[in-house]
Parts: sequence; C-alpha cells; structure tokens
Amino acid sequence: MAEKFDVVGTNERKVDGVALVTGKPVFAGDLDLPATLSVALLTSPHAHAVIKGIDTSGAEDLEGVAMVLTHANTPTTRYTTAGQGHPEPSPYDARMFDTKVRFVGDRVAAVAAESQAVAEEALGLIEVDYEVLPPVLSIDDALAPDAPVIHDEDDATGIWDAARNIAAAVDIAVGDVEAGFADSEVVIETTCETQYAQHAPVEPHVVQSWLDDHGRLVIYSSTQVPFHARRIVARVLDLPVNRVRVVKPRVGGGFGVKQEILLEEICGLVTLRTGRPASFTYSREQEFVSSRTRHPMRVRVKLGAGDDGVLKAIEMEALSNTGAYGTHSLTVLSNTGSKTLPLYNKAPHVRFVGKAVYTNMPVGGAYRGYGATQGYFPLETAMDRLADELGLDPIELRRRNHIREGEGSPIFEELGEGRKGVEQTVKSCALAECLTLGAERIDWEAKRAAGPGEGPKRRGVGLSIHMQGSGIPLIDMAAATIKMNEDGSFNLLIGATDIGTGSDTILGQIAAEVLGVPLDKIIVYSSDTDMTPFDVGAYASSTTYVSGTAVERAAVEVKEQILGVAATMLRTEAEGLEVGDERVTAPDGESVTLAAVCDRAMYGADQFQIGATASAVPEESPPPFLASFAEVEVDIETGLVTVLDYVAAVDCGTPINPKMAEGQMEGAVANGIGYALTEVMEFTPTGRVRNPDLARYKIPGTVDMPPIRVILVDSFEPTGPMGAKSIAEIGINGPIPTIANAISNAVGVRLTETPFTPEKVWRALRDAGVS
Amino acid sequence: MSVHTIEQHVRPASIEEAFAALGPGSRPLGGGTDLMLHAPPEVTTLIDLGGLSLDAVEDTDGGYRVGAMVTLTEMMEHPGLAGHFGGLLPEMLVHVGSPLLRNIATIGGHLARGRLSDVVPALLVAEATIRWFDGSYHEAPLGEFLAEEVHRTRMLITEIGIPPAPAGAAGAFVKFSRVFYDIAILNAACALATDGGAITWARVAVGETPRVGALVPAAAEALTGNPPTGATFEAAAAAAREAIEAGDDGRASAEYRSQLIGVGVRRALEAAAGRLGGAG
Amino acid sequence: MRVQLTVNGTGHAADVGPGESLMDALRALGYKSVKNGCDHGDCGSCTVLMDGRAVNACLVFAYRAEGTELTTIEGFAAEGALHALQTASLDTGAVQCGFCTPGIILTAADLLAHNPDPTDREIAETLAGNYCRCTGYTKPLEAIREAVTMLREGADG
Repeated sequence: MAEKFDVVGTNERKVDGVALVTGKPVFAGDLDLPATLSVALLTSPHAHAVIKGIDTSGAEDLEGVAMVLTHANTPTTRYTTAGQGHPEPSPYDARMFDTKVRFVGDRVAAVAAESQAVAEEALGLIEVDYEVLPPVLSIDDALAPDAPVIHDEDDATGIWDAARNIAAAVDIAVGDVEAGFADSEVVIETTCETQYAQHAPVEPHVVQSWLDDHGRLVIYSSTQVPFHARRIVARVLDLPVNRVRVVKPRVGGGFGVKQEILLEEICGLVTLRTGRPASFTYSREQEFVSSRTRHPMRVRVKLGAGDDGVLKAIEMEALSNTGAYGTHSLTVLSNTGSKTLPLYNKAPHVRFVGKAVYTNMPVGGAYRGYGATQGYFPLETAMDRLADELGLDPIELRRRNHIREGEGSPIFEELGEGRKGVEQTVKSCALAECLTLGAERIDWEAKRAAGPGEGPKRRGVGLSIHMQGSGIPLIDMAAATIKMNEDGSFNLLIGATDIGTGSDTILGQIAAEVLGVPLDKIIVYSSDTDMTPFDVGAYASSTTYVSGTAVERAAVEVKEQILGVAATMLRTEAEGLEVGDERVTAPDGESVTLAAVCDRAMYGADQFQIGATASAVPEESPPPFLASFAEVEVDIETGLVTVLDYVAAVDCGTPINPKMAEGQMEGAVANGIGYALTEVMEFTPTGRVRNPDLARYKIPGTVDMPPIRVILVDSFEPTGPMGAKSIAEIGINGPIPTIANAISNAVGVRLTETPFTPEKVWRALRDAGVS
Repeated sequence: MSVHTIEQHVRPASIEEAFAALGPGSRPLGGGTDLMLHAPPEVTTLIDLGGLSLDAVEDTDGGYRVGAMVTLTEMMEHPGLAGHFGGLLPEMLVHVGSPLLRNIATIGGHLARGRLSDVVPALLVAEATIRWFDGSYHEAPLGEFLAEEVHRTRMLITEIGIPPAPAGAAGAFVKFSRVFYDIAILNAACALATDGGAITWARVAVGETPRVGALVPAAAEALTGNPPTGATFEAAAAAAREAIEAGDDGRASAEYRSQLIGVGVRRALEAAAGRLGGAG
Repeated sequence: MRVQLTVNGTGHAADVGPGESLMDALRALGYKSVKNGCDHGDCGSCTVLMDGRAVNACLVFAYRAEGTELTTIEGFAAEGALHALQTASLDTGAVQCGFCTPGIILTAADLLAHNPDPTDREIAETLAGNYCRCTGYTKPLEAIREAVTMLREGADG
C-alpha cells in the first residue's frame, strides 16, 4: 500500500504563506502602475432587449474619459467565455459587446477614465435606446413551443438547437432501463430542484493590463486559466498568441467563477488602444449580477432494485438552466450524469438524458462540483428512500451497490465531458472504509437508534456517498519545467494555477520528494504564459493528479541527469546511486552534495544546465470517493435547520499535504452547507437579482458552521503522483443530500428543493402535519 | 466605500450649532456606517458629532444615561449595562452586525434609522427613553419617539435614558434569522419581575414584523398577576399573535412571521423566567 | 483635504476626499493588505485596528482616523518576526487564498487583547463579520485557539 515519503505526506507550510499572513501586495489589485486608466462597465437593465442605438458622446466629452467601448467599435468575433481546452465544448454564442442584451447585467458598454469615479460618472452619460423583448425567465418558459428565441443571431456556432433555446443536449443509454424497471421489485422516483447560487470568492475578478518593452500586451489577472485566457484574448482581439502574456499573481479564491474570461479582453483592448495601463475590477454587486453562477437544475432520478436492494436500473433526466449564454452548458450537464452514475455500477440498465436551456437569466458557469452537485441531490435522496422502503440501513444499501476496486462502469466510456468518455477500471477505492470510519466518527448506530427526540427541536442523522474525478482524461494537459541552481536548489516552473488551493506547495513537495531535498530548496513559480510551460489551469480537480504527474516526471528526468553527473564525480555507475538529504550517495557510502553536482555541471567539465520539461496527459480520471455524514437539529416551530456535526470520510489516495487536503474538504463542505441551507440568488419578476450583496445573499459564517471533521482514508492510486488523486471538488456534493437525508431522519419529511430555508422547511413540516 | 458626493464636513462646537447646520444637504455623522453605504446623493455636508461629549455612559442610581455617540461595543462592554436585566443588552447586541461594525456604529446613529433593529425591542422592554434636540430638548419613551416618527424630522438624538430595572427583574432576547450574522426575520424581547410566585411586572416587545419593534401591551397584561409558567407564557404568546398584524416582505411572509411571533415571545419569556432566580 | 494618519507608528500626511473611506485611503498610501472584498462592511477583508479595536475600514470616514493609532497587518508583528496569530495560521493550515487572512488575524487580535482566554463561542462570535470562502472556518478558528495557547505559554515561560 502506501509508501513512505519524506516531504510528501507532511504538513509543510504554504510556500506563499508568509507573504499572505504579513499582507504583502501579491494580489492582482495590489499593483499600482503609473497613469493607469480605470475601467467601468455599463450593464443592461433589461433581461432581453435589442440595442437600437447607443449615444456615447456625453460620456466621451466628460473630462478624464479616455474611451468608451461598445458594440460599434469592438471586435465582433463570436466566442465562449469558458476557459476550457481547445476547441471548447461550449457554444460560441457571445460577443465582446453585442447588439442584443440577454440578461439583466449583460454588457452594454465600458468606459476607461482617469479615475474610477470619473469612469462611473461617465456610465450615467451613455444613452441607450433599447427595444425591450419579452423575457424568458425559467426553464419551462424557454422550452414552451412559442418561446422567444434568445440566440437568434446567425453567426453563433456550437448551439444544439438555437430555435428551441436548447444550448446543449445529452442522451446516452446502457442496456434497457424500461426492462430494468419492469424487472425490479421496488421502483423509486424523485425530482429535485437546485437554485441559482454564486461562488462569491472573497476577492472579486480583477485584471490589470499594460504593454511590455516589446509592445506586447501583458494581462495580470485573477484567473484560474492563464493559458486559456491568453488564447481566448488573442482570438477575440485578433492578435497572434505571441503578442499576449497572461500572468496570474496570488488569487483570492475562484471555485470556478475565475475559469471565465470576463474582464481580460476589455481591459486588454483599452491598453492596446491607449497604450496605457488599465485596471478593471468587478464590484461585489457585479460579481452577483454579471459574472457566473451555478447552473440551477431540475433533475429526476428513477431507481429500480430487487428485494435485496441491488440496483437493476437507474434513469436520470436533467434540465439545466444555462442562462443567457451556453458557457459550460454541455459539460456541466454531462457531468451531472458522468460523475454520479458510475458510483452505482451494479445496475445493468442506465440512462442519462438532459438538456441545458437558454433563459434571460444570469449565466451558469463552472462551479466546484460542476453538475455532480446537482445530480447527487436526487440520486442520494432516492437511495435513502429506497433504504426506507426496503427497511435497510442506508449504509448497508450503499455497500450493496457502490463501485469497488477492480471494477468499471460502462458510463465511464459512454459519457465524458461533452463527448464520449474513456473506459476505466477503478484502481483505488476505499469507499467501504470511508463508510465504516465515518459512521464510527458520527456515532451512526447510536444516533439512528436514539431517534429524533421529543419537543420542538428534533435531531436526525443522514449520509450520502460520492465520487468525482481527477482531471479530464485525454483532454487535460499539464507540463512542468525544473532547472537546477548551483546551491542545490531548483526552480520549479509550472503552468498550474494556485488560486489559494495550495497547489504551488504540493507540487513543490512532489518535486522535493523526488529530488531528495527539503521544500525550501524548491523555488516555485507558476502561471505565467511567458515563463512557465503550458497547463490547462485550475479546474476539474486536475492539478494534483495531472500537474502533479508532470512535476513528478520532470523531477525524475532531472534526477537522472543529477545521477549521471554524480556518477562521474564518484567514479561509479549511475545505477545504485541514491538522492536524499541534498546529496547523492553511492552504495559504498561515498557521496557528493547536490550543490557540488550542479557546480560541476555549470562550471566544471561537460557543462550543461541540469533541467527538464515533462508533460502529462491523463489516460483516466481516477475518482476520489467520499462518505458524508451529518447530524442536524430541526426546529419544528420555526423550520430552522442547524447542522450540529459533519463528518467527511474521503479517499483521495495519498494526501500530498494532509492539512491542505483537509482544508479542501472543509471549504468545499462549508460551501455546500451554504448551498443546502441559505444561499440563493433571488429575482424580481423582470429577472433582476434582488440580493446582489453579501448581506442579503446569505452565506453561513463562523457561528453557523458545525465542526467539519475530515477523515483522510488511506488508499494509494497507482496511476497518480506518489499515489495521489485530486480532492478539490468532491466535498461540495455532500451537504445537500446528507442534510436532506438527516432532516428526513429527524422529522420524516423529504425536502426536494434547495435551499432549505426556515420558512420553506416550516411550510413543508406544516403541510406534513409535523408542526 | 468612499462617498464621492460628500464635499465637506463641519465640526460644530455645540448641539445648537450642530442643529443649525442641519438641512436637506447635510446629515449628522455618528459612526458613519450607514452614511457610508446609503448617503443620498443630495447630501454634501456631514455634521460631525464627535466633538460634543456625547460619548459617555453615566450611572444614575441603578439607571444609565448613554450618550448618542457611544458605540455598540462600548454598550456591550459597560459593566453596568451588561448586567442590566440579567444580561439582556449583551445578549441582544451580539446579534447586531459584527464586532467590526459595533466598534464603529453608535447607538444614536442606530436609533436614528428607525428601522431594521434588534436594539429597539430590547430597549423598549427596558423602558428606555430617548432625548433629542430640535431647537429645544425633549425626552420621550423610545416607543413614542418611533411611533411618532420623530427620527424623520429635523432633530439630533443626544442621549438614551435607561431607568433602573424593577427589583429582581430579568429579560431575554430572541432573534430569528437565516444565519447568525444577519438581519432578523423577526425578533422579540421581554422583561419580567415576580413576587411571591406571580408576575408583578412584565414588558414584551416584538420587532421586524416587518415594522420596527414595538411594545405589546396585550402580552404584558396576559402575564401580570399570573405565575411564570408555560401556560401563562403560551397565553402571552397567543395575545401577541392576536395583537400584532404581521406583514410580508422579501424576508418572510406574514403567515410565517405570525408563527414566529408566538414562538419568539414564548421562548423569550421562558429564557427570562430562567434568569429570575439568579437576578433576584 | 490633508490629514495626518498614523499607520503602524509611521505618520503620513495624506490627501483624502471628505467622503473617502479609510480603506481607500490606506490602499492609496500603499497598505495593500487592507483588502476590498465587498466595499459594504459585509466581509471584513479591510479590517484594521483603530486604537486597538478592529473596524471595517470601508465604513470609516478616513479623516476621522486622524489622531488615532492605526494598525494594519504590515505593521502587526515585530520586524522580522511573526505574531502567534500569524504563526498559528500558517501551521494549522488556516491560510488558503489568504485574501481574508489579514482581517481575520486583526479581528482576533482585538479579541485577545480584551479577552486573552476566550471560549470557542466567543471566538466564533467575534469572527462573525469576517468572511472566508476557502476554509469553512475550521482551521482559522483552530489557529486562534492555538495562538491563545502559544501566547499563554509564552507569557508563562
């Protein structure tokens, strides 16, 4: 099983930690360049309208205004804002500024001015003549036969069926589900709905841009995807890629919303046209109104099982609201099935069908969990109901059905990210142990036996199980470069994108492990399209597994070069030499320091730079596995649900840095608890966000959060770097079904619509006769 | 956030001077947290009340005089106020904003809003009075001040008066919200005193109905003369539900609020009753 | 208008607008640790100590800070050393993106200065206005408890 490591598996401090706790100016908004122009954005007050005319003369005449950008003076290239691998599986349905606005908050114009105050004042001087069109504000309205067409432009590409407002569709089948249901002793069907929610990273989107010594455009961005940003900005602005450099400094959280190209090309165009630095920051309100959201979905799950609880058929039907643009519409929809259905691989008959529809609402995008979160709600609710129906303990029902080591699922091959997937056999799976350890930690048996109690506050425990993936097989790619310095240190140059996750640190740990040095001998530099090799970026739980593999390979190549030089110095063969403690040691005990090795390579004989670049493209996407448990208290007089305790037992293979792995789980669980209980974007009847601030879009805080107890369950993924899988997303899938199942255990009511806010819960309890 | 429409501030040397400076284009500046967020565009002048010696809490024979510029944190940390009615005020104030806000926001500025308040119900059951200046000084019970919407008139709040509590009295505060740091869906406060197994004195107030907090005399009447038991509290809760016409807003429906009124009043009474022994 | 601001013991003659926030003023002076996360007093990222009390710098009129002692995280620890709250934040894994970290540490510092042995509930209530999306608060709260222990042991030893 697990090997012994020196640096991997230890709780190293973050390599950027001291800079962060001492408040160094390391974020995108912290840079002050001389004579920087401030950019402000005018957005649409209408959900659906055509811009008949736009008069910018008043704004242009205001003192201090450098320029106004509108559809009339900007490139018309259609593209997707989704920072995905090329060619992107999202439709090219957006323009920098369009003649039609498709949601309240859509772009109308941008102003660049000498100060933010002037830029904002100028926005008020732009006169726009709108022809207001009937808006489409729900999935059902969008699919109605006579619905207004949201994307009626003739130059969009990649839309599934624009005339019917369908951005994307998926339909796959294994076996024959109808036959499976006919053959089942028990059939359970449930439909669950999830809400509009926002990532709300504490740092909003920030971009600054300037021209370098060669007149090239430099974009300093709080992005998760610097290389995709470079490619998309170059394409939209009609520049060769070599004229654009994207640099990502420290980023204040992303969670998917910074996997979008939202500010870069506007800021860049201002710099190109004026020759001056430009700065563009979304306000918190714009984060809510104009950036990206989680796709709200309505998902129906039907399960068929034998008397023993073993599943015979699973059908999942998903309707996703992608909002005004189709960014991530197909891939999020696909993942609703592909990251959930393989978990229950005993069922021979499986069907997944779904549509992602356009509406005149805020735009769905990538959000931690990426569709799986929406799929697990009905799937794990239905499993819990099946357990009730059969009188089985919910843990036992999961045990009879979940995937195990050495097994596959036809879904892996049938359903990938917007296209066919990749056949895969699970090579590491400690889910059975996750269930055991998690149940022990939450005291499952005693608490289930104790029952909800009397009085107004009822208690219950619930669970759900999950899988996700580690990167996108045969699509994602990462590269790493390592070069050695004569003091025995190494520069690790990676395209991988640390957005607060700690990836710079864990990738440094992997390099340090291979090279036999402490972490402080690895100088990590990442996410600079001029200076670091390519990486797709921080999404799809790819970094540990994919970028980690690239780092491990580069380190192994460098180590071989070191051993070659050391063999000459020690007058022996490279075979049998070992690195460790910053030395190379021969079997006879003779050794040289790494510093001496590099010194010789640089200044001695047969001089060369010890260094290597290596790439990784995953052939599979080994899933991390999770068993989530929660104890809740339901106040039946008020409907308030309080999570008293939360246990997440997770198998992520080798945790490269256990505390950081725990931190990924804790943060994901907390975000999921917010999504389950309180977070919801509310809308007026005309499609305007009613609560675009943190005071009203309510996220649980320190007092609300239960103890989140993470158990890292031992496993070793043979295809991963040092046995690791990824862990970034999976935790967020747990809270909704886990809490819903715990509520059912407490009060016997099944909630099927998130968030479980007090009034909604109180009404459900009252309707059920509980309160 | 900076307010670019502000052009100047004045620092009056007296209340009279401050009042004279009040006009349509000016606002008194307490802690400033509300003005920073919600200053109307026509406001160009801030009247800084910082130099008027309104920042002290004075003890007055078991009662208190709290200057309008006293911060919510200072109220929470004042040993006398903290123990008043068995800890009613800190129990309530911990729900108001966050420490970061309470370190800035003043009691005068808070009450001048006349809305969205956890403070109001608690001060109402403590029988607080409010003193203001509009050319001359006035003092009235807080409930009267709010009912007559004095806060909308041209005036300056200078002081809050909190009288001594009846012997052995205790209070409690209950707030319903989605999360801890949140504006209330509904709040309730009460204060009780007993003698010989019967409630001799009671005050109940409910707020965010969604109107700002107000005393509920019918609930107090249902309590007075009866033993502090569950049945009495249920009767008071029912009286409060009967007396208050709850309304709808984005936070909750009237129907749900009506439910919370009963639950909130009953739970506040139970909590206060639990403190009676210790306070007596 | 010109005001004298004392930040981390250093005096600055600062040009501030009459309606300018302390957050904007401090960032303009180069104190970039004062983060703008919401500009509405909801997130606590701009927290600074004003005469030792933690405040939302975005809600304080800058001119009013004249005559007070302001502390930002840049000046929080002694030169070259880390405060126990900083050390504990690093060692417990409390720092993920780090954008909220200065605010959390300064808010905790206000608490510990007034209450050196807080209960878990008091720590949580004090941090109610400091928003963190990355951590779920488990490790930041643990870091503060850890710092309490470090400070107590340091004082005893």
